[in-house]
Amino acid sequence: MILVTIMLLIMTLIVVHWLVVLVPVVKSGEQTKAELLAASYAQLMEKALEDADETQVNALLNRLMLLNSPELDVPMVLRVEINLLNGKDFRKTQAYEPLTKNQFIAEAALFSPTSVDLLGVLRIHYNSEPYDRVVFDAQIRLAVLMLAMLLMLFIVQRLLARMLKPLNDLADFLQHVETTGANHVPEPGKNVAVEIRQVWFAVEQLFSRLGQRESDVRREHDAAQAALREKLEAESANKAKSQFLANMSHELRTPLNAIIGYSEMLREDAEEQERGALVADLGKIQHAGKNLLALINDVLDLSKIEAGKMQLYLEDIKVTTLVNDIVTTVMPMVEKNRNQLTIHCPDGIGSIQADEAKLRQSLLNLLSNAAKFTRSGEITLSISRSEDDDYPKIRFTVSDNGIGLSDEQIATLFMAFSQVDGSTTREYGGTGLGLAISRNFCRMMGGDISVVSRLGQGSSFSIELPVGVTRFLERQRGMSNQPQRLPQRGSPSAAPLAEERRSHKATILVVDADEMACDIVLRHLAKEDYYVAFVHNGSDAIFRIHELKPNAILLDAMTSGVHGWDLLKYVKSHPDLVQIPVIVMTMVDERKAAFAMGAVDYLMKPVDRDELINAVNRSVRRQSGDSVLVMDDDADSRKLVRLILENEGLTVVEAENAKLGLMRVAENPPALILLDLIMPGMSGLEFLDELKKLSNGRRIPVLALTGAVLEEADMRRLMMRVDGVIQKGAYSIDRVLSEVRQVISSIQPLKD
Amino acid sequence: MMSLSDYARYLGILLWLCVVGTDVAAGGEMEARRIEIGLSLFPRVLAVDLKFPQKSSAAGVVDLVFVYRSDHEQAVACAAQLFRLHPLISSFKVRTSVVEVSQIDSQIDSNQGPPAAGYFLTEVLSVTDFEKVSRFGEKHSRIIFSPHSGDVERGAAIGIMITSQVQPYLNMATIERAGIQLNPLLLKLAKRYE
Repeated sequence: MILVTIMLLIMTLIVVHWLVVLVPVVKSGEQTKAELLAASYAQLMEKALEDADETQVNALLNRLMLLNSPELDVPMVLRVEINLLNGKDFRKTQAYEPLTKNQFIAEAALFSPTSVDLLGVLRIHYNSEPYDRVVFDAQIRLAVLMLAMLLMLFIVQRLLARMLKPLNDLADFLQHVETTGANHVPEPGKNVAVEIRQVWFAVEQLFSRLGQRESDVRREHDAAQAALREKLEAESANKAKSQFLANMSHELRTPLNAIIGYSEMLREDAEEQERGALVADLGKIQHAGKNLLALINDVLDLSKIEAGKMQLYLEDIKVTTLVNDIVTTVMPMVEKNRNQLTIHCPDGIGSIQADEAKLRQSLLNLLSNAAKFTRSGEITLSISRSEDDDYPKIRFTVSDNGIGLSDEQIATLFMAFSQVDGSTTREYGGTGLGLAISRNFCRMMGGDISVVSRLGQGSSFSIELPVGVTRFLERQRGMSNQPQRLPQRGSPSAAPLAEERRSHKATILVVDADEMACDIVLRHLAKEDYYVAFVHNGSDAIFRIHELKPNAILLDAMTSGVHGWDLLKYVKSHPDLVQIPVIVMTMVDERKAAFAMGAVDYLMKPVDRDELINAVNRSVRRQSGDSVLVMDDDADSRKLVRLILENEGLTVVEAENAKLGLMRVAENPPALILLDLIMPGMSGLEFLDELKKLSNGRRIPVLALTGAVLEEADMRRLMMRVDGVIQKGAYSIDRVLSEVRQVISSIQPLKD
Repeated sequence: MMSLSDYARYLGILLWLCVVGTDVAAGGEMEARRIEIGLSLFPRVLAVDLKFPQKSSAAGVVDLVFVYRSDHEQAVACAAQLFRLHPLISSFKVRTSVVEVSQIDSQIDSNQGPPAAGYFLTEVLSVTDFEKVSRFGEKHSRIIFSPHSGDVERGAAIGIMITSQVQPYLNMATIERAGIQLNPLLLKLAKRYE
C-alpha cells in the first residue's frame, strides 16, 4: 500500500511539474525566440525604412520568411507585418499551413537611426508548430512513462504478494497455532524464494525447539512431582520409623524397667533377710533382665542407625577423665577372667570433641570383648595423638593376647548379627551387634575402627577419631549435627518458693504413666526419707505441681495427656514453678533436649538406684541456697571450677549461657555467681543488667571471670558492678577459693 | 599563537570579502551596461513624447541634462556619448549638459528659460535627492529617465526593462501626474509599471 501511494505521488509530481513548470518554460523560450528575431530584424530594417528603400525592406522580409526550424524543417515565421506611422505597410505570409493554429506574436518598435523618431512596428507571427510538436511528443512520452510506472507498480505488487504469501501463511499459522494445536510447521510449498524458505525453516526449527522445551519442561515437572511424592512418602515413612522406634523403645524398656527394678529391690530385701538362695535367683533374674535390656538397646540402636535417626551430641571430652571412668567400669569384667589391664595414656593427650556416650560405649565394647575373649592374659589400652594435615586425630587401641581371630572371622566381624559363630555366642555370650554399632558410631564421628588379629595370638582393635569432629564433619559433609538449641525464654521472674512442710526432708513428685516405674522410684526414695507423690499423666501433673510445690520433679518425657516436654516447658516458664528442679527420665537418649529445656538432670530408664538418689539429692540440695552458680560457655572452664569448688564441699550449679543462668537464679538463688563476661548471645554485662531486675538478684554477689586484659578505667567501671574480678588463665586454685570464701563470708543471709 | 578557530574565522572573513567584492564588481559592470543601453533608448523615448517639440529650449534645439550625485566625470562622459550617437532628435539639435542633483532646482530660472527637454540620471540617487528630481519632473512635465534598476518603481517616469530584449519601462502613474503624453504605439510596445 505504501509502495502504491509513493508511486502515485511520484507520478502526480511528475505531471504537475510538467504542466506547471516545464511547459511554461518551453513556451516562454519560444516566445523569447520570436521576440529576439523581431528585435534583430527591426534593427536591420530601421535604416532601409528611414531611406524608404522598399527593395531592401522586402529583401529582409523575404529572408525572414525563409527561416526554417531545425527541429522539424518547417518555416519559423508564418507571417510578418510592418506598420509605419506614415501609413505605409508591408506584409508577407507563408503558403505553408501549420498543423496547429497556435502562434507566437512578437513586436518590435522601429526607430529612425538618425533622428530616433518612431517609424512604426514590426510584427512577426512565429510558428509554434515545433513547440507544439515538442510538447506533444513530451506529453506522449510522459503518458507512456506513467503507464509504465503503473504497470511496474502492478507487477511489483503482484510479485510481492506472491513472494510474501508464504510469510503471510506462516503468520496465519503462528497466530492460530494455539487453537489448531499443531505441533509442527507445514511445508512452505514450491517456488518459494530462498530467503523466504530460510525464514520458514528458521521458524520451523524454533517451533520444534519450543516443542522440545515444552516436553522437557513437562518431563521435569513430572519428575519434580514424582520426587515430591517420593519425598513425602519418605518423610512419612521416616516419621513412621521414628514413631515406631520411639514406641518400640518405650514398649520394650518399660516392662524391662520393672523386671530389673523389682528384681533389684527384691534382692536387696532378700539380702537384708539373709535369704541367700532367693538372692541368687533374684540376681539371675536381674542379670537376665540386664542382658535382655542390653540386647534391646543394641537392636534399637542399630535400627536407629539404619533409619538414619541416630544423632550426635558433641561435647569436649577430657580423654584422661573418660579413660579413667571406662577403666573403672570395665575393671570387674577384666578381673573376672583374671586378666591384667594396662593403660598407656600420655599426660598431654588433651581433649577430643565427640559424642561421649557413643565413644564410651564403643570403648567399653572393645574392652569388654578383650576381657571376654582373654583368660589370664594381658589387655592394654593405648591412647595416642597424631597430627595429620589439618585434622589431628586420637587413636584408642585395645590389645589383648586372647583367642584372636582368623582372616575369615575378621571379614564378618563388623556385620550385624554375625558373631563369629554360634559357639562363640553360647560360650561367651553377647548379641553380635556391639562391633557393628561401635563402627557406625565411629564413622558417624568421622573416624573408624580397625582390627589386626591372629588366631590364637590375640587381637588389636583401634578406634581413630578426629580431635575436632565438628570441623571434620563440616568438611566431609557428613551426618547432620544438630545440637539442640536452647528455646527462647524471657527472663524468668523471681517468685517466692513455697515448700510443703512435711515430716520428710523433701517432697518429690513423680510424673510417669508407668505405675510400676513410679512404685520403684517410690521405694528407692522412701528409704532416703523423701516424701514421694506421683501422677500418671501430664494434665494431673500440672494440678499436683501447683498443689504440692514439690522440692523436685521426676518427669518421664513420654507422659500421656500433656506431653512430658510440654510439661517441662510449662514448669520452666511458670513464674510460680520455675524454681522447682526437674529431673527428666526417658527411655530415649534426649539428654541435650532435656537440659536445653531447663532440666537439671537426666536419667536413662531403667533408672539406676544410686544415680536416682544422687540426682534427687543434688536437686534438693541445690534448693537449700548454698550453691555457687558457674556461668561460662566453655565446658572445660566450668568443669575446672566445679572440681575446685566441689572439693571444698560447695555445691556447684552450671549454666552455659546467660539465659540458663537467669533460670537457675530464679529457681534457686545461689550464694555466689561466677560469671564469664564474654558469652554468646546475652553477654555477662547484659546478664548483670537482667540480674538487677530480679528481686533477689541484687543481693547475689558476682565474681567476674574475664579472659581479656582490661584497662584501668574499664576495670574500675567493672568493679562498680561486681564483687571481684578473676583473670582467666592467670588464676590459681588458691586464688579462686580465696575470692569465693571472701565473698561468701561477707554476704548477708539470703532469707529474711 | 593563533588557534584553529581563529584561522577559520579569518578565512571566513576573507572569503566573504571576496564574494562581496566580486558581487560589487559584477554590479558595477551591470550598471555601466544599463547606462549604455539607456543612452541609446533615452533619445527614442524623448522622440515619442508628443509634446517634445514644445520642450525645446531655443529654435531647433533641445537640451538634455545629465544629473549626477558625485561622479561628474561619468556624467560628462554620458553627455558626450549621447551627443556623439544622436546629435539630432526629431530634427532638433541636441545640446547636453551636466548638473549636480542639488543644483537641479537652479535649472529653473526665470532669466534662463524653460527646463531641459529630458533628464538622464547617471547615478543612483539617495531617496531625498530622487524625490527632489521626481517632483521636479512632475512639476515641469519633463521625462526623468533612469537606467538604474528599481528607479522606475521608485518613481522615475521611464527606465529600461531588460529581458530577452530591451524595452522601455514606463511608470504610468508618474507619467500621468507629470502630464506626459507618449505615442500610443510605444505605450503598446513598452513594459508598464502600474
